[in-house]
Amino acid sequence: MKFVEIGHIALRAKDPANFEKFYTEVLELPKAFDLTTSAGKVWIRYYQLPSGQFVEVFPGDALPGFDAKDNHYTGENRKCNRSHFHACFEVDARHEAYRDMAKKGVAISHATNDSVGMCGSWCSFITDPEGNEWELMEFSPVSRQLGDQLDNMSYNG
Amino acid sequence: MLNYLKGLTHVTFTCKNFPAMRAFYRDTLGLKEVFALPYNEAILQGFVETGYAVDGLKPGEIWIVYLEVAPRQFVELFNLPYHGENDTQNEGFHHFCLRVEDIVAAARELEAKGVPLYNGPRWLNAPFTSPYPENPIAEGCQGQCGSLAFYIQDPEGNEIEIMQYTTDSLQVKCRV
Repeated sequence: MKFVEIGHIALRAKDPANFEKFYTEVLELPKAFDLTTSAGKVWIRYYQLPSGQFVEVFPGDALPGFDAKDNHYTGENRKCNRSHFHACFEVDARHEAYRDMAKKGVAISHATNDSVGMCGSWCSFITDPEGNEWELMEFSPVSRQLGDQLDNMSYNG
Repeated sequence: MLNYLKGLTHVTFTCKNFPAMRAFYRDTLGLKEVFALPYNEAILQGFVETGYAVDGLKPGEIWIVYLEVAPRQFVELFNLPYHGENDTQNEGFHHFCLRVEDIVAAARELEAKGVPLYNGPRWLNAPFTSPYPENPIAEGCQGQCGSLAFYIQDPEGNEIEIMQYTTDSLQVKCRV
């Protein structure tokens, strides 16, 4: 079986307005399109990444015949109670990301000495308003993720 | 759009049954295992401090394996148990999507391996009771977005959407 890509990550939102603000204003992802219920409400909203991949959100309305609880959660979304740990965006200018997140008031954690992680990449972390963690990863010349793909890497230091 | 943000590069799952998850992504889905990272004392202590139980895990044992989906894209598995039931209907994460060029070929391979295919997440209780259609477009299988898709679940119950774009796919038509 050959996979082309990770096509999208899909998340539910308890607070769709705040969720949208984060993805459109902090991460500046453009809205790509909506899938709608028969009542014209948003069933799924797609936000597009430069790679052509997507972040998909279920704001809570369900299609006819389905229960809204399928698309809406009431739990605390605590990381240690679920299998999904985080998802990761590739970045190619980590210091710009650090400055940008700080300017936007978003906490970002990263190695203060600018060291790479055990995998050889620069890793930093932010969290969306629903408590979903996103890693921002920049590959380095020693990234184990790249293996023999180093000729194809973007390296902005 | 941020000029430094490129795309999705991995999705990460913690595992109650790490050997089963590793076998599923490697052997059932056929992802190549590209490297593994070991635990050390500091990493184990960090997980204890954030609410995880690390009983039985020791420095030197596998912490992470990376399995390649495509160039620069991976599934990352943590050999780290979570506490809850992974109630995938009641958490922020809904599913992730692996895109294929040929959904019928993917369906046939998974069916041959005994993996149940679902029309939507498993909680909708709509399993395919016969093989995935040979001509899915002719048989009206396109979703509202114009793409073809079915769902499977990994051993922890995480929902995976297998998707093929078509000429009608909004995912293609919307490109900016």
